[in-house]
Formats: sequence, C-alpha cells, structure tokens
Amino acid sequence: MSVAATITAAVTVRYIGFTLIPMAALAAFLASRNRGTRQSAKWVVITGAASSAGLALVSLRNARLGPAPLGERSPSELTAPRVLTDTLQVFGSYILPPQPGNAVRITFGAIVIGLIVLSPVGAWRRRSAAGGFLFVFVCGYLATLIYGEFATVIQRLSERLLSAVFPPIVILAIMGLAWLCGFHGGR
Amino acid sequence: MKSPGQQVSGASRLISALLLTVPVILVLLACHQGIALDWDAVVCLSAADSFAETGKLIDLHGRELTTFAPGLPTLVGVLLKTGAGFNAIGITINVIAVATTVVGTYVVARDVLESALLSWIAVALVSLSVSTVRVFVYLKTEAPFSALVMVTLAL
Repeated sequence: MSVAATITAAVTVRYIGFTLIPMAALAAFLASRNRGTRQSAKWVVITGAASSAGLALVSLRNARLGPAPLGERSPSELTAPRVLTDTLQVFGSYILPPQPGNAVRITFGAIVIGLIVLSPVGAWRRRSAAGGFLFVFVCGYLATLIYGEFATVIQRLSERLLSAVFPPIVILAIMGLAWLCGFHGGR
Repeated sequence: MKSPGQQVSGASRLISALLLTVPVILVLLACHQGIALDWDAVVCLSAADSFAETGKLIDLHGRELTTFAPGLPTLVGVLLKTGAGFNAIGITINVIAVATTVVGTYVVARDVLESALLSWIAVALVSLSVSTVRVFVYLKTEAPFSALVMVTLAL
C-alpha cells in the first residue's frame, strides 16, 4: 500500500510517473511468485489497481476539462537522429560540462549507455533480481520518454527530463563498470 | 584506543553525514537569492497562486492547468494559503526532495550493488553532481518527482 500511495503521489506530480505502475505490478509478481499462480495474479491486479489511483485521478480531471487525459499537447516534429543525439548529449553531460554539439560529450554519452547495457550481465552474474528490476525500470522510463519526444511537443530531451532516473543510471553504470573490471566489492 | 571496526564505523558515519549535507548546502547556496524560475516554473507558480486564491488551478493564460500534472501546484497553493512565501515553500520542498533522493539512492544502491563501497560511490556521484544541483534549485516538478521515484524504488 505504501508503494501504491507513493506511485499515486508521483503520477499527480508528473504524468510520466505512470511508468512506475507496471514496475509495482512486476514487484508484486516477483514477491508472490512462490505462492502459486492464482495468488500471484491476485497481488499483481491489486497492486496495479491501487497504484493506478493517481493516474485515474489526473486522467478524469483532464477528461472533464476537455483535452487529452494526460494534458494538452501538440504533435512533435523531432526526428530520431535528433532525439538520439539529445539523449547521448545528456548522458555525456553527466561526465563533461554541457557544450552543445560536442562530439567528445556524445562519445562519453555512448560510454555511459554501454555501461548501462552491461549492467544486466552484472546483475545476472550476481543473481541480483534488484539489479535486473532497476534496469527494466530505466529502460521503460527512457522508452516512454523517447516515445513522448516523437509523439508530442514536450521539450527536447534534457537532464531535467532525465533527472528522475539519474540515480538509477549512476547505479547501473557502476554495476556495469564493476562487472567489466571484475570488482565484486565487500558487503 | 578505538578498534579498526569502530574507526570504520565512525568514518562511515562521517561520510554519510557529509554526502547528505553537501547537496543540501549546495541547493541552499544556489537558492540564496531566491528559488530558480523559468517559464514552466512560472506556469506552475501562477496555477499555485490561483489555487490559493480561488481553489482552481488556472495558469497564466487563464486556462485550467492540464499541461502539467496538478500535484505540485496544488501543494504549493495549499502552502501559499498558510501565508508562507513561494521562495520558502520552494526551497523547503527542494531541500526535502534532494535529501530524500540521496538517502533513496543509498538504499537502492545497497540493494542492487550489494557492496558498501560501491554504494557510497553511487551516492557521492549523485549528491556531488552539478546535475543534481541544477535540477533541485528550480520550483518545478522534477525535484519532488525524483524523490518519489527513489522512495518507490527503495520500497
């Protein structure tokens, strides 16, 4: 219930918080998978429904006011290369200072993405379900954000839009790097 | 004389206090002359002001706010109604949000990385990043949303 309440609060703060709803359902499934299919399904439905309260609330309010359930938007004119470059620039800016069009920063962005891509291997080696879960969340969030860039005019992808996944990105990049270096650390 | 275990524990406490305090101080310093505002922040603030006055979220174009989710303007509107200034409200929200995000990062990192050292490195990278300061100085949805995401992941 605390997860559902937090997700409800998140969706009422930013619409993209709805990406947390399937993650809550997935967490409920993972937590209850040993109790049998029926129990698992029951918990997935209960958690998904409870977490969707915020989304229902804002959608109903917006629908009552006229525009689309997730707010008034205009069609986007951004192209795939533009969005990809913006994404790499933001990832690169976590390492280097912002300088638009900087090829070095784009390269660093690609390195950060490479480390994130390696992180599920590290998670698998450590048998870390939490690592895999975090990777799925970051991928889902990024996919939603990039789809949003193509579908509607929000803003060009920036560190502001990616701020909610900045800590998970750092954790995944460290996991990828640790696996690459063969570092296992100590508890 | 302290044992090595006690020394490590003391150093660990000092590092955790520093990593939690530094981003809070950086945000407070950056907001020294007032919370940062841009176009989106002004839209949010105008809706909050309208909520405090009329109970409706009307943006500066005179329309009901739907472009942004209603949570933050409603919260700021309720707090404005208590007589608090928007600067104090914004800075308080952001300071709580940055502290929550840093703590949430540690909890999630500890769970995922299963290493105290790597977890501290993750926390240091987040709390000392200029990106964190840039995001948490604005009266916008990113700050409370980031904190809520980290709380959800930590739970």
